[in-house]
Amino acid sequence: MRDPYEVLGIARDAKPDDIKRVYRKLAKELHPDLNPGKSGLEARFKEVTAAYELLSDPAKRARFDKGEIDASGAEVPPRGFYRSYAGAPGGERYAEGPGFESFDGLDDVLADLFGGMRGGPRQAGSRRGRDTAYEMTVDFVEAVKGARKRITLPDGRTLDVDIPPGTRDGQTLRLAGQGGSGRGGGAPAGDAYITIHVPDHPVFERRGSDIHMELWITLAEAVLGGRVEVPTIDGPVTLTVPRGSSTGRTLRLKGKGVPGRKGAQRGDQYVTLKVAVPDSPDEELATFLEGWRQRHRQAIVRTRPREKSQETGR
Amino acid sequence: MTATLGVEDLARLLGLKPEVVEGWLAEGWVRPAREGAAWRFDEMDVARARLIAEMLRDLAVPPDSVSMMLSLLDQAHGMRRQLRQLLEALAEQPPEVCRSVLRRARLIERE
Repeated sequence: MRDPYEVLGIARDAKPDDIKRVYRKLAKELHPDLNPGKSGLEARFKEVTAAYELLSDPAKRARFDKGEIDASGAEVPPRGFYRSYAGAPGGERYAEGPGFESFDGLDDVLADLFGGMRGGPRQAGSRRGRDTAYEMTVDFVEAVKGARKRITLPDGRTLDVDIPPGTRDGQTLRLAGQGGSGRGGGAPAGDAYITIHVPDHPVFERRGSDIHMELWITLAEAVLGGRVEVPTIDGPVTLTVPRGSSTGRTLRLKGKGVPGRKGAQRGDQYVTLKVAVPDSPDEELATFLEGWRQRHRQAIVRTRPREKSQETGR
Repeated sequence: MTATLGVEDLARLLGLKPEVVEGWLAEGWVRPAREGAAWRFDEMDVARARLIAEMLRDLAVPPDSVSMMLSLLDQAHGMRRQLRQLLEALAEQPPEVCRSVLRRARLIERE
């Protein structure tokens, strides 16, 4: 990929506002959906967007400037541009208005239909295959741990997609050479881009490379402590609840979070305890607490700052 | 492979609040299918919504210009569709008719 500064045509010390201004101008000119009749814009638009993605993020820009990451760090999917649907069968849903005056950009239609009639043969050169965009849903645990999924493409081909560990909702994977086939001798196939959707998990919640969850414990476990089973993405593990644990106490399961990519450290799982009092406390417990209350006074702070304590458990 | 998305899914995909997407529905900018009380955005609706999101967020298009831009785009696509149909119909005619029509329309310069 080209140097992002060069792609946007800006100086190395360009200010964020200038970068934004330049990008907006270029994007308006190049956005394929705002140019229904012009072909060949997608590659340039993609390049400009990727460059902006990199340079508009101060952290990424700093790392790029220091040479820590290269320009290919920001992969941008071609995704389904609107115009590819608007021009396809079924696309008349949003179409408006009769009449036609402009033939501009329909060269491809004319060429396809009338071959060499346009005064001389059309260049029969080879052309790289189209990039294609797909979307797929992967469940939470598969996305976190990584998985291999098979998808069936509209043309009937099947494709095995390796979902790398730690894949996030909305992330795009590129499968080189799995897009449309090239035209003409030796032309390379395009790439397939797959946007991954990860639905929320009922129990686990991902925050960065950590996984958070709530775990209900009994009153006895809260007071006396004990060992309880906790689900993790690797299966259940045993967690030691310390004596005297209140609702809100958060315990850490080290290394049970999201696997790190490319050797990065694996995240942790945080378990926030919730104490469950029996639905209908029995006489014995009630009587005991009556007596206990008369003889003890529990010091309690009723309102506390909403801060999460984090301790190492297990 | 691709299921349709509800308002919540779409909002999450585009990094928006569901109310924003609901606003677009109220404006008629996107017109997905409906299943009972739920909206069902198919791929085309998602692509259109993404375009709207980009116009507003990345391209700084003023919100009150979005309707106009969408309408122009819809007209352009409508015209292209009709033109394509016309050309396809023309292609079924004898070659000399095709040539004559295209030359008359100044779409080909010479034979």
